[in-house]
Amino acid sequence: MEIGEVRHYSFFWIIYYISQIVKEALAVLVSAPVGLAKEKTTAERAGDLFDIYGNSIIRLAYSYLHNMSDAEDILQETLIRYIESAPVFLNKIHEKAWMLHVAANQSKNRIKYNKVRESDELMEELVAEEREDLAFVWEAVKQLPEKYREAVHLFYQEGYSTAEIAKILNRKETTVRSDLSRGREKLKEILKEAYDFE
Amino acid sequence: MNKYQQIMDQIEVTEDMRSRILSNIEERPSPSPVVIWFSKYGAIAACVAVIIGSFMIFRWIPDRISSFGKTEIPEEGVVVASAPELTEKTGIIIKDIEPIAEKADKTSYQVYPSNLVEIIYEIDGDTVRLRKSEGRKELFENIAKYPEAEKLLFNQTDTTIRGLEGKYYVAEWTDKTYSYAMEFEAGKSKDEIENLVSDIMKPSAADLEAINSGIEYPREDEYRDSYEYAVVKAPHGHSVYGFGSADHMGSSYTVLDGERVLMLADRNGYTCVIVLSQNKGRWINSNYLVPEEDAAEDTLESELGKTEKESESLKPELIKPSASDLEAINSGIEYPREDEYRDSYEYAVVKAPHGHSVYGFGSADHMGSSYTVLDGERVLMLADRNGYTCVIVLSQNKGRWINSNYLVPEEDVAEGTP
Repeated sequence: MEIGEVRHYSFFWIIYYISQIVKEALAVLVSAPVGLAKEKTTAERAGDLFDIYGNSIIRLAYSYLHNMSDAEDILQETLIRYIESAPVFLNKIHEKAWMLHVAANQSKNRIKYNKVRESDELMEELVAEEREDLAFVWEAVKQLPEKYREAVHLFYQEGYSTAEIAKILNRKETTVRSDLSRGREKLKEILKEAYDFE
Repeated sequence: MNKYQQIMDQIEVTEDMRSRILSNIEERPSPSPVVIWFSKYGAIAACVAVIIGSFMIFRWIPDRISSFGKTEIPEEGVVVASAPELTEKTGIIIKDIEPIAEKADKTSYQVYPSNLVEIIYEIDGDTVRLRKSEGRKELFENIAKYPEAEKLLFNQTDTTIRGLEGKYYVAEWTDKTYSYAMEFEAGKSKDEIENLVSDIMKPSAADLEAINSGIEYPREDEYRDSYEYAVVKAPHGHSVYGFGSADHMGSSYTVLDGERVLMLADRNGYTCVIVLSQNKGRWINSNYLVPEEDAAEDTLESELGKTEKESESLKPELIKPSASDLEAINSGIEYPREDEYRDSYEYAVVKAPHGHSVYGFGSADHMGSSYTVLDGERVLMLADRNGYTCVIVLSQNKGRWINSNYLVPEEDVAEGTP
């Protein structure tokens, strides 16, 4: 089974090479994210990111902002930031960490500089579903200072280690550990028997 | 799933939200409309030129395209110097088949335009080819000339081997991303092919990345030169912790006694492994891993009558937890400072002053949270501060600070026992 047996494909490959050269030349000349220079449109890329990271981002944003509308805004801003800066990552883990890092910063900026809406759809839903046990826990988490809450969210919801949380939040790992530990202590004080943040 | 996760599960993106956000992103003003115009039209023009060009050539030379589409192999590949260079050029991770590469008279490496990579070994007049390409496809043409096809499971890899009169000449298999194929001009037996397929499919360092669950990857210099299978030997015969990192023990996962793992890298007394049944990367205390060959020998030795005493003498080294284990099994206790850890850890027994129980605290300094630790409990002493000892209470598998006066080293207890 020699490779030479398939010599009759040579013309196809000449065309293939030509098309690749033209494509790469255009990619160099053209900087806009459309056409041959990029394989997917902006909306398609945003759609992919939304499908992969949407839930993680909106949950993180909600943990800061406590309402869906603001959390949705953060999700949108995070996707836009990704598309505009087109960062390159070694793998999906780093990509996700970057998205959460941006979402966390955007959320904190919003709290600092904008008026945040006061509805809490999650609490309403828990109450409507008669999940008082969960509503009690959510109320306790909401009471935590922001720095404890973000560590608790990334640790218990996203399963990150303290080292990874430190990278995402741009803090020292020892600080994250201490925030997490103090967050737990506070939750323990409030929740007592209902505490399950082991 | 803890309550917090149950709460967060209530928050989900919706289809409405998706279309709203995507439409907002699409409608936002473009930063450089002139360039977009150029690129759009340039791209379209290029496409039209290529399509017309291709069409004309195919029309003029119809006999040359009669069998287009049957194979992935173009006429000529680009020859490179090594397997890593193949990976560098294509992004496809491929490594030499070590048992063959060692004996080969000549080895060549080629990459083809369809992102297919190939390694060819020539050994004593025989030729062995390994091909790999993205997607599911046939990588060798003319496989129909081998009428005997058999599907076999080689080390968790479904493989089709094709041959004639008891000898097999082609092996094909796929994983989630790639198609693989090998061709043996002189033919091979099933066993020989099984060994080769197992060797090729042995996870590479980079595979860890694909199957990880957010674990920290080893550094390049930490990877072993060759990977070996091992068996988990849990100290109490139940399970050990598999961590997300060798340094920071934050996330932990249960890995059962007897689990088969592939050892990839080492750091600070921890080994980065792939837990085969879970297909996940984890860092496990190296003391709990026994190379598969040794495990087999151990079993044989015990069958041959190794004494109970001999076995017992091996236990303490195996079950001694590291300082960092404390972090994984804590319940929010304060960790000792680095300088407070003992040089070596010892077992002790709790001697409660009234014979019932003592308090185990969350911290040596702040006695806020307290837990009951019963008289007679076995603990492992890790660190000391201000008359308190940080221990792991073995029956609870929790870290606690206990008044040092209530702890008696295990040896002393044994000596004091009539």
